[in-house]
Amino acid sequence: MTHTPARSRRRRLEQPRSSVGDGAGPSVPPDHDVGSLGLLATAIAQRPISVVAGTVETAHTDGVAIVVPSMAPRASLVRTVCIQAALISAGALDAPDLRRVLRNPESAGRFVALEASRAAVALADLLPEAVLTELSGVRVQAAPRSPAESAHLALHDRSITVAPDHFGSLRRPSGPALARALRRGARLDDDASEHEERAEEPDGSADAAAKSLILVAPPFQNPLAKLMQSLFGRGGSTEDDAGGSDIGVHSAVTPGDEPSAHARLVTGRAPRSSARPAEDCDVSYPEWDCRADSYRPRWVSVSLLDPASRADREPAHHRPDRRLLNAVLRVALSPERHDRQRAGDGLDVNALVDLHVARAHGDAPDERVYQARRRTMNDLSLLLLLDCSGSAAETTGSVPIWDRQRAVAGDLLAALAESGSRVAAYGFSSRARHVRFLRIKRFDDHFGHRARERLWALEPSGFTRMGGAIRHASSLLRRGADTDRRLLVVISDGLPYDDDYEGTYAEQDTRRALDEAASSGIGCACFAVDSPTDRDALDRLWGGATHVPISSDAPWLPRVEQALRSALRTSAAVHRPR
Amino acid sequence: MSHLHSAQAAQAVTPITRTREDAPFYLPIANELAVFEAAFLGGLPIMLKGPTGCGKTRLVEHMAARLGVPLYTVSCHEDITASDLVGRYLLTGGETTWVDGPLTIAARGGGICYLDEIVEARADSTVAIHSLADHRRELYLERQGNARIQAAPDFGLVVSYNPGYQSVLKDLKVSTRQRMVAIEIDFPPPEIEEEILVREAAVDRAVAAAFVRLGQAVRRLDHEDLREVASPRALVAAGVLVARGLTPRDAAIAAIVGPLTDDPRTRAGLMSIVDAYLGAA
Repeated sequence: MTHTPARSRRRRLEQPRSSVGDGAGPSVPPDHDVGSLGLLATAIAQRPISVVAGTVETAHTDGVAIVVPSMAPRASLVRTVCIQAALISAGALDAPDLRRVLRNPESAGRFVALEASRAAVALADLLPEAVLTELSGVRVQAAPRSPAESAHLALHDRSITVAPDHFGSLRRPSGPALARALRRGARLDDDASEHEERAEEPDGSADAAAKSLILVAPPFQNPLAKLMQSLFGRGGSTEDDAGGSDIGVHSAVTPGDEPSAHARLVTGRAPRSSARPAEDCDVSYPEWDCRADSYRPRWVSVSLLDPASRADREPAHHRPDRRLLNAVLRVALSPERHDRQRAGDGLDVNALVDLHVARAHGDAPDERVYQARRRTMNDLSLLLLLDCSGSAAETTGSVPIWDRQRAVAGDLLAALAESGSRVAAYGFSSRARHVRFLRIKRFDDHFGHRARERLWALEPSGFTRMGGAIRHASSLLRRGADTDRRLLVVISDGLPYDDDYEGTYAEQDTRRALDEAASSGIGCACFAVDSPTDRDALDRLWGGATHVPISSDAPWLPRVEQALRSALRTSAAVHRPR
Repeated sequence: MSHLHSAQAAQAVTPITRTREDAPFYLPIANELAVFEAAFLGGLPIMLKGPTGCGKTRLVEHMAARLGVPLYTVSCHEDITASDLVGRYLLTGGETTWVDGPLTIAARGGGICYLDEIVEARADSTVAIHSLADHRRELYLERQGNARIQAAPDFGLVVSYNPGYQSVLKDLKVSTRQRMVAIEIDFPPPEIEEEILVREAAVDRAVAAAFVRLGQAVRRLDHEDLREVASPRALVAAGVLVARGLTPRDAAIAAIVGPLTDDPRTRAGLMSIVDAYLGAA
């Protein structure tokens, strides 16, 4: 059905390109049309699938992307995508014996036929009628009830008819990281599709070679970026917020077992480390590699723990400092309307009518007939990140930096909790590519005795993989705090440092994470308490975000208010759709 | 105070009163009709929960007709005040006249007062319903000299809201929720949705089936891709367009794709779904 003779293929090539949906009949679809089929595939498979065009005869998929013949007419492309997505949805790629099944074309073809008929039953209410008819038209004598059964039958029962070509074929899921991260909208550039062709091996057993994607995007205000943000933050956020977040993504490269030749071609430099991506875990974030000018997907994992309790520690009691509280309130409150006021800029008509009525009846009139706008509405959410890495255990002066940091955190928390803002606080430290968040107070927790205990139970240890921490904190803010103003405040003494994470690399990743936060509407500030680190280095690190050096012998209150305001201004400059 | 009139607010609020025979069409998904009737007859307030466009309002209209009571609907928004619900004084030619709001009318004379999208109203505006919503079934009219109205036996309070839509801050107060009987109205299963399309939009079954499948596909998309998904209401609208002469494809573009997104990439993606279910152009 799709095996078109060479002549007509050439003819189709010469036809002018036509735009979407103009009904001009079969024609060479422009690239982005193929990408748009990704949403169809995603809907049927119920997981993110991208569709890319390649110079292939028949379609194939590895469960992450569907590669379709670029020269096929749209109607047949649509049908093929439906069929391939149906196979994915039915779980064909989860078959235990997949490698064996796919090793030779006959068993692979039988497997597709069996799975197709199984998908027709499983998705009887979902698939388009025409596709259902096709899938169930493939007659199979035995009706498999699971991918495993299909695999078994495919391997052992040679009487089963092989699926038609246009059902496409299956490939074993490749390197999980970038593969799973692919989304519709990604465009395979021309070089890559050639490379794809070279990578295809007749026995189908080769792991898919590194796919290189060029996602053309300016750094901010990129319509793709919202998808990319949720893509990369996918591990971290199950329900994303309403606000779009804009990050620039220049290109993404799959880490493979060894750097692929093509990767070098596109980026000009092999990835620095050939280590495998972070373990599969619930929450993971990418890291920005400034040398490769790309993200390393799912590079950093994050887990949340409660700090081990310390019975011997009596938490200090933080009475909210009045001035600090006022400073916080000045930042946190926004105007709202008040009715029935003694004075104001506008009139409250209901109150006026009541006044008249009261007068008419000879009652004592209530003369509060004005409407005023006052700053009484607290719509600030703030997440406090306390750097618990071992470097804070150093001492300058008599008191360890750590204790001073913790005291500042406690004071701030008390004031914030008192102000009525939504507040959360976590300690964090990292070890290699794993970051631990230690709960002091979640958004919905009360800042009471238990929270204070947790704060005082924290002990500095480990290192500072700042980028991952900032990304996770941003995700928590987006999920837990649906206010207009959102702030992330990091209390840290120094520069990010961890395995494979230092110097310019770490600085650039941290700044990138801060930019991502800012463009999703989160203002960032760093309070460096009695930090021995060079001021200039810290300023460079925090870049656009506000950095406030705090020393216990100088008044820090005014600087705090200023820093928070400035952080809010930066994030307010970015329009967030709600 | 005795010279105050409380005018029947015929000019301000008109109820919808239907007879059982021309009750608006509603096809139940589960036992919602029985729950509604039991709650109403038992004097309990009802909270309808579910995504937009799934039939909450239609259910209320249907039950009001079946139960033979007038229906007073209030579409709630942020500027609704307690006076809008309870009533206010109007200045008429130098005199002041009290005019009942929909809540008061229903409480006095019987009927269902339906507060649609109640979370949109500010909490201080809806506090008036508390005393009506619990066993007291009383309404206090502060401005009318603290008159106390005992709700009529066939008064019923119904509120609706869309749980997935609200932000953390705008949730229904716990004290309000606790007083209500909840009915969940979710997306109907395919066979019921098909029947709804056929009856409401007067389209033939094949077209209805195709729209329903399309709706199923769109609803499988994660909310990251779309803020809303295709509601039964949207599908019915598409059906109506088909009944009026549009091709299914054009109807789907107008009634389903267009309202769902402004982003061109998402639109292109939805178009590919339309192509799959209703044929490429």
